[in-house]
Amino acid sequence: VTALAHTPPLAASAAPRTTRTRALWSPRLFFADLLGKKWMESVVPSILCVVVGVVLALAVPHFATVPTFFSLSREYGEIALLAVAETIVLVSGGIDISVGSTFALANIFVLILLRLAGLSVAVAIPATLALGAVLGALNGLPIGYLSVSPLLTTLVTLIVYRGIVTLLDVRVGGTLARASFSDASWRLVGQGTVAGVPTSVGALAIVAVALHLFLSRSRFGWRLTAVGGDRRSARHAGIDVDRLRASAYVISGMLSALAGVLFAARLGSGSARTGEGLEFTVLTAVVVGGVSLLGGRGTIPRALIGTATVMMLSRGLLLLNAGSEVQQLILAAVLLAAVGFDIKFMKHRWSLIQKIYINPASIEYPPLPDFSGLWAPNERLRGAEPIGLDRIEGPEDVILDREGRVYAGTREGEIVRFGGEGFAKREVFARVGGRPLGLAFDEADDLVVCIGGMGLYAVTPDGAVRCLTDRTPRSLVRLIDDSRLRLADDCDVDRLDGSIYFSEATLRFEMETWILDCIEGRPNGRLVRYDPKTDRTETVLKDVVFPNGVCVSHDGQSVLFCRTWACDVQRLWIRGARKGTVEPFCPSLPGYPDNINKASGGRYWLALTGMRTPSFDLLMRMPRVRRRMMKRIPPHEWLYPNMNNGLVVLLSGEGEPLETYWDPTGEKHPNITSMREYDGWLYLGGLNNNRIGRIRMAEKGEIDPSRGRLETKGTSRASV
Amino acid sequence: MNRLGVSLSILGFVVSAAACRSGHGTANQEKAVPRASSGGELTADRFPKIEGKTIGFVPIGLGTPLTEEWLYRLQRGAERNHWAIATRDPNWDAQAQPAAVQTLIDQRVDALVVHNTDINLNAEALRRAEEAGIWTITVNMASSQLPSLHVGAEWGYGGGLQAQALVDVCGGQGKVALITGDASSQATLDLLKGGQKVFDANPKISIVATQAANWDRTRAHDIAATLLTQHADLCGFWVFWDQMAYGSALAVREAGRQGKVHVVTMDSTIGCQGVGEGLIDVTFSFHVPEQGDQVVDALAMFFQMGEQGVKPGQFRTAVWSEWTKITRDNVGQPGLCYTGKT
Repeated sequence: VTALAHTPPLAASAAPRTTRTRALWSPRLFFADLLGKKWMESVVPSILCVVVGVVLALAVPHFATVPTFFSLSREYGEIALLAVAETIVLVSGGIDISVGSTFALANIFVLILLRLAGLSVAVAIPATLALGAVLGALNGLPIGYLSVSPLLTTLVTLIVYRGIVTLLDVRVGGTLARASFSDASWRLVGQGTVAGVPTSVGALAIVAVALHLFLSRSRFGWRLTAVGGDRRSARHAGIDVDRLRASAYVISGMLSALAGVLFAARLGSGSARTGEGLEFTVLTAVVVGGVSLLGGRGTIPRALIGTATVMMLSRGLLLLNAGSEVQQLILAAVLLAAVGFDIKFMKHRWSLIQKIYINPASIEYPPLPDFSGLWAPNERLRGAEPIGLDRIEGPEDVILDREGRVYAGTREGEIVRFGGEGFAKREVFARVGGRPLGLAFDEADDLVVCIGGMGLYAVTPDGAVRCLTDRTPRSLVRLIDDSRLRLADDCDVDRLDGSIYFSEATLRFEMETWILDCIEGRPNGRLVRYDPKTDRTETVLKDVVFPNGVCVSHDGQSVLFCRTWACDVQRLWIRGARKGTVEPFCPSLPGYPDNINKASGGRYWLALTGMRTPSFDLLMRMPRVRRRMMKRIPPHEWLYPNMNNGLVVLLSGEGEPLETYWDPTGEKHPNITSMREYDGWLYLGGLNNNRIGRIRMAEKGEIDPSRGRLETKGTSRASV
Repeated sequence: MNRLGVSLSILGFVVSAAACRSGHGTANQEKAVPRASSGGELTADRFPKIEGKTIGFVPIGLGTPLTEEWLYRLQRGAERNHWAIATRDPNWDAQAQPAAVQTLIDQRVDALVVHNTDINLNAEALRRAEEAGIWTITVNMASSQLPSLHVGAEWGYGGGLQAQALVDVCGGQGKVALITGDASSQATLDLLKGGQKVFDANPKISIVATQAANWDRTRAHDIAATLLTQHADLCGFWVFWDQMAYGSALAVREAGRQGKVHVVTMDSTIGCQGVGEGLIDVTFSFHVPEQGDQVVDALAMFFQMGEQGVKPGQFRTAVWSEWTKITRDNVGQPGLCYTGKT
């Protein structure tokens, strides 16, 4: 990082007494979040749709009129149904170019049923839809079960169905054209309106809403999308790929037939030309709407938007009396552009997001303390007794129950318990999945656990796991969906009302990429409160720089929380006159604080997971340098905060550091993320350690003397 | 021209009947009807041209002499009468045609001239047009919704003429094949019906195939080529339009059976060309340029009638075109053929 050499040295006079963080609104950040949204994919098609509409309204006389709108909407109902049919198939990873022929065959079929066979509308329409299902199945069965190419199969049926239409037209076209048929309900389907809306549009609306819910909310829809996204993975996930693929064509056939019925009712023409080349229009429409030809990506609204764009375009060209060869050319150009954009956008979107996702902001630290006296390294942790040495991986937090057994979460997603003589007996207390982090016992002796990537869970004494909360009300102004808990980190139980305070370290990164939150250095986290009585979850403090350890104070009046990248501990008042206000508790630390827990004598234990260094402090002050670092060198060569030499700090009840406990060699406890005082011992946990450690304390103190029951039963339940 | 004369007098009768019917209306309408005044001369001043009208024209497809000729005649008439022509070309796309008609209704044109793909496709649109007070005229291809005026050839009669011509060139016996337009179009249906009577009267003529080529030259060529290989002793084709007939005739020539397999058809541009080149034996003209002029004249009358209180939908009329047989003998005669490019 050459830029470091050019920056002025950190002037002690300019350094703040407390950490200064900045949370400026960043357009890059906004853009990165925006690009990450799934609906972003349909923003461009929507804009295109509006632009096409506005341009045509301005440029083409008689375009933007109410009658044009209404007559267009009637046709729109039919074409959009075909587009929806095509979307279902495309999402499943196939393609159906026989929609136009199916449409035409359904059209002439329903006319024959009504005019020649003399069936009633109530019979003819379901019969035609059944025909559509059969026609679709003829596509779907070979494609789904015999793995015949969808393009080939539907090309064959395109020709065959068209051939049948021509045959029928030759055989019965004449009689059909002359046979009179008049039926009120048939007229209603073709020309009528239901509550002011053309019947076809109404039918479309019902089908579209149902299929949208079906595709986006149902198990079937999700699986269909999964099959389209990656057939092999879907198969490995146990999805019945063959059946799903086949059924997509059956749905497509039925929808095409429905469109054919509406067309028949509107125009009553059995012409063999019906629907010729329609597959092209429909494919253009869905691709313009943002449905991918490659499968797995597409929604019903996108199909509707694309259809609107293409239909407005062709109607505009018709009004301008551009010949249909010109229309075809323009549609082809639009299709080409849309496919090109789709491929380019999908190819570059994620790499673009990756490039701009991390948006460093400045953090300015107070000067590092003198590492003599209080902060002078000592060897107090060197003699720590190991518990579960090499039998546990990454005990982020440790806690003890009434019987003095030690609990800790592991990297494998388990909560293990050590008990018996010398803690030799290891048992898996619960399998929770995710990454168990902060632990706390509540009044009912349930183990409350923060699970990275999952949320806040509770484990009953007999090991049954249940979810307490995994979501909060979504904030209205954030682009990122913050309703789901991404990285619940540490929790503590408020003894006075039983509610649980917990931290969510960051909303922008995941368990595996948490360290990148430091490179960004923005207040991405929050403090959340869960009330088991009402089952409500609320954010009590938002925009916090990596809130990590959480501890309800001894008197229950405030919540202490560590801000890891800000290197301080803050206090949020939850009761009393200052309720809701935040103030510094321990404003200037030489390292990155992790968990904070109660200590005996009204004091607190604080774990520093790593120590600050002058170089990295400087880097944190200079976001632009960090940005250049990210751009120019690969991630494994970036500068990261030092995370491999921690210590434990004893804080007074007012946040004054009193004592420090070091393991300067880093052999046994290279990083310390948690510690727990219990019955004269201090237990140590570390995110990357291969053991739990414990050291005997000089004096045996009591935690929470105000609560007599806890006093006798043990200190374990006091805090996390 | 006899038929035309009769038709026009029928039209005149209907118009006056309609005028009489509406004569019971308000005083205003009475006033609007010009009456012969004492010694009044029939001058243009007394019947001013109704200018500023917009006429919507929707053919099945432009770019073929038939429809281009109509458009040309319409444009000439529009120029003369200071009207505007709004053309919408669905270019043989069945679905686009009702949409095209609808756009013109939405645009509130004063009259619609429609060449229907089939008899049902535009029926609803034409009904709505009439409801919206738009004069409707169909040319050659009728719709099940009757217009104010239909201008066109009488297909049943013409079918008989063509079938008879085919029987004649085949010498009253042999195998013949029919290549038709869209099976559901009114022209195809009526031509077949008219032809059938002739074939019924000539039992020695056997129809070996009836195939729809949907007015398309290439498709007709391919059908003809196939039929020629199937039937070595084919005597003739009756092809329902000269565009298709030319394609079929080319197939005959390619098969080296020119002179043995005869081609009979109708319309007088490419048909004339085919006759001139010896590819086609007989073609029948139905006087397309005149049809265009008749439409223009009718429009002028309709607009005047509108001024006199007559509304679209109050009467139904038809004008039938003349049929003229064209063979090698008379193909050079001036006025028989048209170019569609004038």
